[in-house]
Amino acid sequence: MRRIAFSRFHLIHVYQTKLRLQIFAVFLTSGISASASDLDFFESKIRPVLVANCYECHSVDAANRGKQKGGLLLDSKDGIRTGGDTGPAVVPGHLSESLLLKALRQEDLEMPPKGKLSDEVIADFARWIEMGAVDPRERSATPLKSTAVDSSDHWAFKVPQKPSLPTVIDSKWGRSELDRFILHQLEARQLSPVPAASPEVLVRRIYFDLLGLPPTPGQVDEFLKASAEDHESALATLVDSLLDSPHYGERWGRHWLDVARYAEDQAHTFGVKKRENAHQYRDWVIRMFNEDLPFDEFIKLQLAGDLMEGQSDDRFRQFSGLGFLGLGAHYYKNSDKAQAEADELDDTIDTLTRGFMGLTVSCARCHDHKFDPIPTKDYYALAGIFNGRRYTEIPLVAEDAVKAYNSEQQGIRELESRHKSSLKVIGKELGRQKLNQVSRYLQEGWRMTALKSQGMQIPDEEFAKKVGLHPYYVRRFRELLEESRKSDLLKRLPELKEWHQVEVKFQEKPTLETLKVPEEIVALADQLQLLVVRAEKAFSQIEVEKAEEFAKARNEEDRLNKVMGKMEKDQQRLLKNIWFDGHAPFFASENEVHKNFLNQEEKEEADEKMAEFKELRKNATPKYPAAHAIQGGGKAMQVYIRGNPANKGDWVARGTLELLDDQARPSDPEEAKKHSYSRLDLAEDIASAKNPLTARVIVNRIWQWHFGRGLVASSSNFGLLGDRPTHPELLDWLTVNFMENGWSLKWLHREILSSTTYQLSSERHYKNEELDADNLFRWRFDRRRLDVESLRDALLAISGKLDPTMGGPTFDLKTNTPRRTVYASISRHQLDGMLRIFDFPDANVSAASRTETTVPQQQLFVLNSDFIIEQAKAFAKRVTVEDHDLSGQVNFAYRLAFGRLPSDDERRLAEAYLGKENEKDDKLSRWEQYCQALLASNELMYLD
Amino acid sequence: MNRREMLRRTGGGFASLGLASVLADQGLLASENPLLPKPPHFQPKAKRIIHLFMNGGPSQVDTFDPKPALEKYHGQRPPGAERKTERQTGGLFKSPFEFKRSGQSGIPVSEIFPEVAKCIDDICVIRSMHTDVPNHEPSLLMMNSGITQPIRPSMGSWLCYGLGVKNQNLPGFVVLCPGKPVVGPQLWSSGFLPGIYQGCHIGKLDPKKIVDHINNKHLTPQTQRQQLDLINRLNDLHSGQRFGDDQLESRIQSLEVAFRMQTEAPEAFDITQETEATRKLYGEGQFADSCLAARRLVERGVRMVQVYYGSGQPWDDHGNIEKGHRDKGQKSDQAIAGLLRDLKSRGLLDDTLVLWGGEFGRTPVSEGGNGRDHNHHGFSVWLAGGGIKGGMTYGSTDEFGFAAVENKVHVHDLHATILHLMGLDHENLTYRYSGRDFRLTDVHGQVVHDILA
Repeated sequence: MRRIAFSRFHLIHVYQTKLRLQIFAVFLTSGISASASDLDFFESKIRPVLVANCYECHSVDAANRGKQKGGLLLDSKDGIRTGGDTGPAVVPGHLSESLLLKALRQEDLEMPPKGKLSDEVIADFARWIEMGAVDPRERSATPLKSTAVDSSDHWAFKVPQKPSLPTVIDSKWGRSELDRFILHQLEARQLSPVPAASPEVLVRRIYFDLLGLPPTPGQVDEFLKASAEDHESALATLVDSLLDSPHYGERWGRHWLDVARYAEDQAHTFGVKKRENAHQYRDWVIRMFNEDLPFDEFIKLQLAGDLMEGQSDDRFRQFSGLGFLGLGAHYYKNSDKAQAEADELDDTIDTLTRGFMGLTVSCARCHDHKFDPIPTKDYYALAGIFNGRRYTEIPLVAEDAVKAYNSEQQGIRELESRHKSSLKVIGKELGRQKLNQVSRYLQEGWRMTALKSQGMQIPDEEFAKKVGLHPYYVRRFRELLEESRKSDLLKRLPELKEWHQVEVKFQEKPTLETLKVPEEIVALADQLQLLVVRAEKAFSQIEVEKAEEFAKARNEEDRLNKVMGKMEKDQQRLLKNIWFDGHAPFFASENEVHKNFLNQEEKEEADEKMAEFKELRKNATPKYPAAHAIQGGGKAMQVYIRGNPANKGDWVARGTLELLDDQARPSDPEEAKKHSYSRLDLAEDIASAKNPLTARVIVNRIWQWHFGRGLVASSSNFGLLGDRPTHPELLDWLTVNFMENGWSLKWLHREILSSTTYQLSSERHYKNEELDADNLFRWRFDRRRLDVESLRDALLAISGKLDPTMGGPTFDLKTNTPRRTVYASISRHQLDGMLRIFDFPDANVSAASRTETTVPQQQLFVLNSDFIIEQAKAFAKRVTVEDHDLSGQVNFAYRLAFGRLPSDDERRLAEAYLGKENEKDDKLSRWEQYCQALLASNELMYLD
Repeated sequence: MNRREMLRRTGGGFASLGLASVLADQGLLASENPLLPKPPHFQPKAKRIIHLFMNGGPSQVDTFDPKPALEKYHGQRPPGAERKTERQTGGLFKSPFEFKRSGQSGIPVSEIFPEVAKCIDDICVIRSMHTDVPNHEPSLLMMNSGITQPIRPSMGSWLCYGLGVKNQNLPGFVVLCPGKPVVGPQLWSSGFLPGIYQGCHIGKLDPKKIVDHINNKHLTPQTQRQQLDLINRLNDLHSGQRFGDDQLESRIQSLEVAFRMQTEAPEAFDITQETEATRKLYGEGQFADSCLAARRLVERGVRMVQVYYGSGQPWDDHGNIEKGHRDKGQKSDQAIAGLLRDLKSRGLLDDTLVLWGGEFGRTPVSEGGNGRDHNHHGFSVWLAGGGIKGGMTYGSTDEFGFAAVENKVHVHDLHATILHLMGLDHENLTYRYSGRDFRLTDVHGQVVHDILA
C-alpha cells in the first residue's frame, strides 16, 4: 500500500516534468510524422498507465535493480516492440498479435498482476495500437547496466601451474612439501601449529578416515608397538595396509555416492519401479576406488563407458559406472511431459557439472548465469548431448547368457499364454452362441434397470433363474444399460441412442411379474438383434471364404482376431461392442470363464496348470545382472526461453561450455542441428588435463573428506560466487602432481596422510583462536562427529556383530541387518529415519558436503532404538564372557570402544554403576546399561 | 572470533536467514541447534498454522462457490468445458446440495457444512484459486512445496527453517494423516534444507509412537535417569580434556532435551487429557481427534500442523459426488467448526492461521453422470484466524465455476500470503543451494493484501 500511495504522488510530478521535456525533445530531434494528436493520445492515455502499472517490473530501472520480469521492457519504443520472452508486446496495427493487449485483457497472460485495468483503459490501448502505436520514447530514461560477466581473471578458469615451494621461517617443522604451503600461510598470519597428535589418537583417526571403522584392540597394539620403534615407518605401513583393505572402497566410494546422488528409487509414487540393479553402480564405485582406477578414467566410464573402445571384456567394469547417468531422476510425465523431461535433463546437467567441474551450470537454464560466464546456450549445448536419451539396462553377462535367459522365459510365457488363450477362446465361443439372444437379454436388462429405479433390486442370480437366462450375461447386460453408463452406451452402440429416452410412467409399483417392456424398447432391441445376426453371418462368411489365409494363424485366438480384422467397419464395431471386446456384454475373460463356466473338474485342471507355470518360473534361471544406463540421446536443442519448454528460441549445437573451448559452436540453425558432439566427446573434455576445473575439483573434494572442509569451502561451486581457496598455491601444487601421478587417488591420500598437517592434534590454542577461530589455515586438526555410516558401522564393530560381506543387493536398515551401512537401501522417496536424523543428504540431488546438526532426535536414537539396544546387549555379552575380573572386563570394554584403557575416574564410575542392584522392572542388566552408556558417549561419536 | 561470537554478531535481522545456510554449508554452524527460534522479517500476524488438507480435491461448486447457472443449464455442455482436465466429462451437473446464506456476512455455504457455516464470519473464502495441472501428484506437490516435481522443501520445512521452533521438546512441523496421502513423504520433505526441518508424520495418534524412538521399552524412568547421569559423567570427563568445545557441549544439552522429550512429547499428543466438553466440541472420529491433537500441538509451540482428511485421496469423488461429499462433510464439519471455536475461546485464533482446502477443485460438468473430474482451473480454499479478514469472499470463478476469472490467486500467491502472515517476506526467505538462492515461491508469488485484516 505504501508503495502505491507514494508512487502516485511521485509519478504525477515526474510525469508532468518529463512530459514537457520529452515532447520538446521529440520535436527537436526527429522529423517524425506522427500527428500531435496521436502523440497527445499516447502521453495522456498510454504513458501514465504504463508508468503506474508496468514500469515496476518492465523497465530499465527495474532491470538495473534486478527486478525485471519476463525479459520485457515497456519503457521504450524499441523495448515494447521487441517484446520479452514470449514475443513482441505491441505490433502496430495488429491487435491480435499484440501480447500486451492480450495480457491487459487477461487472456492467457494476466497483467498487471494486481488486477485487471478498467475496460476504458484497455480500449485506449487497443485504439493506440490500431492507430499505429505512436511512441516517442526513443530510449529509456536510464541506461541499462551491462550484465556481461568479467571472469577473465577468475582463478578457477585458468589451467593450474605447479608453483614453486614457498619459503618458511621454521624449516624444521613439517615433514612433507605439502606442509611447507601450510606453514607458509600460518607464519604469515602469526599462527603456530599445535603439537602432533599422540599415536593412540592417530591410529583411531586414520582407521575411521580410511575405512570408516574403529581399529580393533589388536590393531591398536600392533601400531603402538611399531610406532614406538619407528613412528614414521609405522605410519607409512599403516596407511599402505589400510589403502589396500577392501573396506577402503566402502568408505571412500560412499563419499563419491553423495556427489552422484546415488539411490535406488524415485521421489514420487505413480508409475515408477525401484531400480533393482542400482547396487551394481554402488559396487562398481567401491571396486574402482579399491583398484585406484585413475580418476580421469573413472569419469569417462561414468559418462560414456558404453562408447569407449579398447575395454577388456569385463562388462561389469565397462558398463556399471553408467549408473551415474542411469540412476538419474525419473519424473511423473502424465501431466506435462515436456516439462518433466526438461527437469530430468536438468538433473543430469546439474549432477555432472557440479559433480565433476564444480560449476553451477543449471543456473543458466532460464537465463544467462548471473555470476559465471555461462550463457543459456551453454546449458542447451550440454543438454542436447543427452536430449532424447532413454533409461535402459545393459546386461552384465555375455550375449548368449541373455539369450538363454530370454528364451527360457519366453518358453514359459508361451505355455502360459497358450493355456490362457484356450480359456479366452472358450469365452469367445460361449458369447458367439448367445448372439441370437441379444434382444432377449436387452429386454430383460431393461426390466432389471427399470425395477431398480423403482427401488426393487433383485440379485442377478435370482433374476436370471426366474427368466431362464445365464446369470453372468444378465449381469453384463444390466451393467451395460445402467443410467450412469449412458455415455459409454451411446458411444459404443449408437443404435441404442434412444434407449434412455424411453420414459415410462408407473401407476403403481411394478413387480417382476407385472412389469412389461415398452414397445419402443422392444423395437430397439429387435432392431439391434437383426443387425447383430447380420454381422455374425458376415463374420462366418469371411471365416469360410478366407479359411486358407486364416490357417496360418498362430492359434484359435489369433484366427478369430484375424477374421475380425477383415470385417467391414460398421459391422466390426457392432460385433466388437456386443461380443468381442473386454467391455462387451457377451465377452468373458479367461478369469470369468474360469469362474462362471467351468465345472469342478475343469477348474481343478486349469488351476493345476497355473500352479505348474508358477513352479516353472520359480525354478527358472534367475535374471542376469544388469547395469542401469542410458541409451540414445544426442539431439541438438533450441533454447527454452526462461526454461519453458513450450517457448523455444535459437538452435544450439551440441558441445561443451564456451569457457572451456575457444572454438565457437556453429550458430547457423542447420549447421547447429548437424554438428556432432557425443557423450564421449564430453567425457574427454571433462576428464582432460586441459580442463582447469576437473582435477582441482576432485583434489579439493579429497581434501575436504579428509579434513572436514575443502581448501575451497564450496566444493561444488568453483564459480565467481564460490569461496576462494584458502591455499591457492597448495591446491594447484597438489592438482598438478595428482595429474602427473596418473590421477591416482591413493597417491593423493598418501600425500595428505603423511603430512605433519594431517597429524596435528585437535587441541585448543587461545592465541590462534583469536586470529583464526575456524581453523581455516589448519593450525590443528578439527575434531568432528562421525558421519552416520561410521557411527552405525562402529557400533556394529564394537558389539562384534558386524558382517563384513561386501556388495550385492541392498538391505533395509529397519531390519537391523548387521552389514555395513553403505550397503543399505537408499531412497529418494522416503529416506530411512536413522539416515535422515543423522544428516544423510537428500539423494534427489548431488551433495557437496554434509550438514551437521545436533538435535534431540539423534539422542533418542542412542537412548531408545532397538538397534542400539541390540548392540549394547551384544557388546555386554562380548565383554563379560571374557574370563576377567570386573576391572579386566572394563578394560576390555574401553579398548573395544575407544582403543584405550580407562582412567582411574572412569574405572571408579564403572565399578559404582555396575555394583548397583538392578530395579525389578528393568529389562537390561547393569552391564548392558553400562555398555549402552559407553556407546552413547561423546567419545564414541566425536573423533579427535 | 569464535563460532558463538560470530553467531551473535550475525544473528538476528533478516540478513541472517540467508546467511545461516551459507554458514551451514561451510560447517560454521556445526554444533548450533538449527531449531532455535529465529526472528521473523517483520511483525507477524500469525505464529502458527493448522492446515486442514482435504486431499483428493473437494468440489468448489458443492462447498463454498455456489453456481445457480448450473441449475439452469443442467445437462448442457457449455463452451469452455473442453478445457483440459484429467478425464472425459459430460454436461453441466447441478450441485445436489442446498446453499444457505450464513452469519452476519451472509456468505452462502453448502448444506454439507452446517457447523462451519456458523463460523463463516471468521472465514475468508478464496474462490479464485488455480494451479498448474489436473493430476493429484503434481498438484499435491505444488500445494505443499510450490513445484510440481518432488525435490523441493515443503512449506512447513521452510517455516521451521525461517522461524525455528518454539518448543524444543517437540518437532516443529507435524503431519497428521492416517496412512499416507498420494505421493507420501515428499509432501512434507525438507528437500535440500537440513533434514531436521522435515515434517514428522504421524499415522496413528498413539502417544507412544509419535516420534521415532520416543519410547523407552527397557528401563524404568529412574534407571534411565541413572544411566543418563552416567553418560553425563563420562562426557564431563571427556570434555574436561577438551575444554570449551561447543559441539561436545551442545550434544550434552541435546541428550537432556531428548530425555525430557520422552515425557513431554507423548503428553502433547494425548487427547484423552482434554475435558469431556472439549472432546464433545470436536465430535468423534479420526479426523476430529486429529483436529484436537493439532490444537494441543500448536498450543505447545509447534509451528505447523497439517491434518490430512485421510489416507489416499478421499475427496476424489469421480463418481457419486452426492454420497461422497455428504459423507466427508459429515465426518469433518463438526471437527472443523470445533477447532475454530476452541481456538477462539482460548484466544489462540488471533494468531493461529487455519487453512482449509484440497490440491485442486472439481469440474462443474459431470463425470459418468454423477461425479466430477479434477479441475485445476478454478477452486476454493478458505483461511481463518491469524491476520485474516473474516466474513469475506475473495475472487470469483466464471458463471459455472469452471475457471478462476476475477482476482485470480495461484498457489504461489497463497504461499506468499501465508509467509507474509507469518512475518516472512517470501522473496527474502531463501536458501543458497546449488549456486542459487531458492525460495518457496520460486520466481512467483504476490501477497493477496485484500484479505488481510
